[in-house]
Amino acid sequence: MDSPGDGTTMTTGRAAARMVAGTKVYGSGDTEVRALDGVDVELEQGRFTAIMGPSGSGKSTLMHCSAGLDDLTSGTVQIGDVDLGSLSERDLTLLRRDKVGFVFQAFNLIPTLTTEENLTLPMDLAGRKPDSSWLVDVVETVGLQDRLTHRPDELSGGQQQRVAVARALISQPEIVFADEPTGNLDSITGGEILDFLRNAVDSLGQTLVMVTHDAGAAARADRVLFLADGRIVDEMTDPDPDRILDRIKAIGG
Amino acid sequence: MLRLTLRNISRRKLRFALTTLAVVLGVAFLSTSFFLTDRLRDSFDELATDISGEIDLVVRTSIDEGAERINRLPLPEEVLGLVKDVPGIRSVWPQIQAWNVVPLYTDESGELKAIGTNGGAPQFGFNYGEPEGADYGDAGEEASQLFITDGRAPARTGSLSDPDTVGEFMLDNMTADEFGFDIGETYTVSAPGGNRRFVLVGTANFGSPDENKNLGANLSLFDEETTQEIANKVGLYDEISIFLEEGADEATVMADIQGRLDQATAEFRSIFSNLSEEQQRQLAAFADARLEVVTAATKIAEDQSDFDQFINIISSVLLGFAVIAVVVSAFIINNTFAIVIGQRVRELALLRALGATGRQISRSVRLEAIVIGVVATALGLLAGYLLSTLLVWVLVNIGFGELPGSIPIRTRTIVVGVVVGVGATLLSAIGPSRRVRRIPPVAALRDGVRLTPTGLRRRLLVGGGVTVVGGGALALGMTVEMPTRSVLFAIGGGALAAFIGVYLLSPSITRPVSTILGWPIRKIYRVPGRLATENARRAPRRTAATAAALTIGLALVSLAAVVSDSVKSTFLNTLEESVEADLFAYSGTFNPQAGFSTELGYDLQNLAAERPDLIESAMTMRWTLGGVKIEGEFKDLVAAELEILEAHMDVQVLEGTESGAGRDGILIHVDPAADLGLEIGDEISLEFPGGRTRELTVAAIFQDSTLLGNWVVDVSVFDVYLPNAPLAWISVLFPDGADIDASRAAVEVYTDAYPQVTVEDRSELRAAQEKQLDQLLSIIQVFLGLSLLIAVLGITNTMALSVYERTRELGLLRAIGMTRRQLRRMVRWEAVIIALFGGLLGVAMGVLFGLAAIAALPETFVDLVSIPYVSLLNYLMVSGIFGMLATILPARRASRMNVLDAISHE
Repeated sequence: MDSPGDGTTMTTGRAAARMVAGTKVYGSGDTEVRALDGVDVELEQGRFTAIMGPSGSGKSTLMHCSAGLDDLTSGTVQIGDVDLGSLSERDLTLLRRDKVGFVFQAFNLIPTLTTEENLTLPMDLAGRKPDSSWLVDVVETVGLQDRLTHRPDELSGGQQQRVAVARALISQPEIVFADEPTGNLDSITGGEILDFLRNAVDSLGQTLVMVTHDAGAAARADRVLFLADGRIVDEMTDPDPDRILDRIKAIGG
Repeated sequence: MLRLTLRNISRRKLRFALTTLAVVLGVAFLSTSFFLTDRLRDSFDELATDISGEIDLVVRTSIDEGAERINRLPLPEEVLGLVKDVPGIRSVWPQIQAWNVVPLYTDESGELKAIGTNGGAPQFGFNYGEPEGADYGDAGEEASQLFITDGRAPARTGSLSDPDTVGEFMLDNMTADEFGFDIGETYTVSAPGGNRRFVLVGTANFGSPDENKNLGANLSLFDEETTQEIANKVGLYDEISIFLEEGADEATVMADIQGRLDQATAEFRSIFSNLSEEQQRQLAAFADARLEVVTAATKIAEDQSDFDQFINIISSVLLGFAVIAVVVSAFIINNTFAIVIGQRVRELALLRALGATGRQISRSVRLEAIVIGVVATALGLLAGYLLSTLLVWVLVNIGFGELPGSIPIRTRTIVVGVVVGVGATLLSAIGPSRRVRRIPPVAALRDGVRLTPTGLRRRLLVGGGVTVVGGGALALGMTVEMPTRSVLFAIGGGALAAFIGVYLLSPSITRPVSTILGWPIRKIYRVPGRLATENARRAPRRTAATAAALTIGLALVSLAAVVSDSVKSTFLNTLEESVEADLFAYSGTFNPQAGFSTELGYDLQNLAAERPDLIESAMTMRWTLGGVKIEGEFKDLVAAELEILEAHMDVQVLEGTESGAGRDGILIHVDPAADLGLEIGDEISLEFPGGRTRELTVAAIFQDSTLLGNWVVDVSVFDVYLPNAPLAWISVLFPDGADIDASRAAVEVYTDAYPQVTVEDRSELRAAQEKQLDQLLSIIQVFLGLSLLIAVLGITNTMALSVYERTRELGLLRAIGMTRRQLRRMVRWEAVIIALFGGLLGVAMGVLFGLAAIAALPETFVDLVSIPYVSLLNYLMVSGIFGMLATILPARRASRMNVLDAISHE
């Protein structure tokens, strides 16, 4: 457990995404910041991984680089079998569209589109038809049946996040990244969202990575990675909130 | 607050640069119209002064106040003897001017060519030098304002009535250089008196020994007697210039001269009454003529005001386009302010929360407008100056001749520029600046607070009202009989009101129209198309305001297209239906005195007499602008040969016949005939420039005024009373069954000697006129295109602001898999929808205004309505393309933005 490399050896399932020796440097000289400093990590298929760490620990950068939103200064990232470093801007976009789902903290939906249109947006962009029974399943799972023709400004914050989660699931991506998905919600609504996410992993077999600084949220994951100063300093499987908080204190967050 | 304002501007450089550019363009066009016309006016004022040189007094025949001075009668050369010996006169100088004196030359391919027939400037012949034995005094070059640079003055070699005489002439340097005339060579000069041969003996500068200041006119100089012959003014002068002795009293000399002139006039009248009837008939125009002496200042002022008429036309046209440009700019500035302030609500609310009053915030917005207005006006004036410099250069190079001097910077130009530039900007900011007062401080803490402008309901009510009023005025102008001025007022005001009304209403139709316009785009481009449509729909006011700038331009372009197409089809229809003649000869130049030698008319009439198998008849026509007074008003008069007119063209006679009163007849259009209560056989008196009236008998009342206008008399009337009006047109009729090629060849034997004369059959005439109208239209469209350019800028501006405003949304779209290309497509097609919306409104209004204008214009121009559907469709397509072009930059910026930065954008 002392070495971040242990994460790799412990993995048993196939990796949905993998970062090897990931380093991300911003600026140069005196202002140089190493947001990621030689990170090796595998995000296993069908599991729910939470990434925690204090502000500036690099957890968002880790997510952005793994998801193809940002590129590494050195090291490699793979999603499935594809090495992101070798992809052109366009191919990266297509990869995000087809293989990755996103849930952001806020502003997840296009205000001019209805719920249904927002849900199918990535597939529409790709010119693919969504699997209609799957669509119905997901919509039912998140309880949006009677909200399909509403526009985002007619939905509550919780409903909007549910739509965002549903959108991330509908294209059945290789991996879903959620960036503080409950950060803007009250605890009850946030709990619901976490239920949906958990359910997606359990019953749909979805691979899920969530960045959060909320120990309660992280406790819903199968595995928690702890980041500090751009390195994975620890990890925990089958976590519970108290142990997570202890671990964070130990790290000094 | 000022510091904050300036910060704001410097922080949002690009945004303000685009806003500023719109004002800059508006002010630039406005100031150009001033700079350029001031420049032209100065040049022509100088020309007017140069023409009069150092003279003190001018003796000439009088002409009615308000008459076109071009019709002033010449005076008998004997008058020179009367005034020459008046005490106090140092020198006299008779002036003879002939229009349409065209030197011919042979080009490299051996073809006979006429000088300058493509330019607008006239070709003049003047007298130069003193005849042998005359004693004019020592005025010399000073009087003629011509300064020989090469060779010598032309001398008299013999009478031109002998066709074998080879005379001598001199040219101005510009003409000689441009067309390659060489001293010592012999050339044919085609003048009103006919084609004769002359040796070029010298070249001269006009106005100054060092510089040729003829403003593009071509000048040929001959000795006095020869000038009289080529001008058809044997025994006549146009005027006599007088130079006073040092210290002579002007008033005394003038009184002395006027006394002698009056005495001579009285003597002439008594002689005239004793002349034979035939002689009286020939001199009829002079019978009541009076002679006058005026100061040079009077004459210069008259010349300047004559030139002014021409410059005022240019000036009004340029000013009209400039006003359009400014209005379009104002729309854009207003829209930009509205959007920018909408985006700054939180920031402004924070200021409110920190204690700024609503008034202070509102003032800071206006201050911003003033700063932008001032900067833009300064740049606009500079740009206007540069643009005028460019235009002057273009004018010089298309044959305006040298324009000496520089562009004058008048206080008026600067003041108007500042008032309009700063004023329009400030005015555009008033609405938004009032709205910011209502921003509550709490908005600083909340997301998504929107500024609600005037209630939509009120806007719809006002818009509906204004539209109805405008439409009513338009309808009134189109249907009710009113004086022309009232019609124009009703239609102009109605069009403006209708436009403003439609603009106010347009946000309410933005949504449905965008949905319809976006339909094919959604079908083709799916998601980007769908998003483009939704984006165009989401801010109806913004879309409407952005489109409005384009609407103005396209309304005007469509208006011009509809009117010109209708004018064209009216003319072509007349040509088709009413013209029976087979061949036409007319001068290729454009000026009120354009014409050619009467000899060509005689030649063709002789041909008709000798070869009736080839030519049935040749009819000469002349015309004068405001040359004759009928019932107290100056009218344009056309002369044809009444006896054969019917065979050459059909003016749709309702009553009487063209030849019903022989050469003493007058044909009158049905409208003025009804106004004056004239019937066939009535006598009507026409007052000619010399003051003589002549009774004519109403021979026919006709319907179609497109060809000959409202008043038609016989050519013989012009011969006597309007000697200055040149032969302008000849129409030739072939006999039935004639060999057309042979007939035409026979005509061309004569016309070939006059390369300045265009000879065309009906289809060629049709094509030529069509081409001319098309050219005019394209010039108008180019000017209107400038306002479209500003409108494009407006679209760019709105799209750039929208893209900025939607940064997060765009980032999200990119994150979840929208490609750059799809993103560009989305931005582009949104702009296309906005542009098409503006274009559609513009074309619709343009057609409506066009129909109104056609109703208002005199029938002489247009009485058929023709709508150029293909052109209108093209304009729509062009507006769509403009929409695309406008988004090249904003779309690129949008697609290049960093996805992560965009997602976390505040």
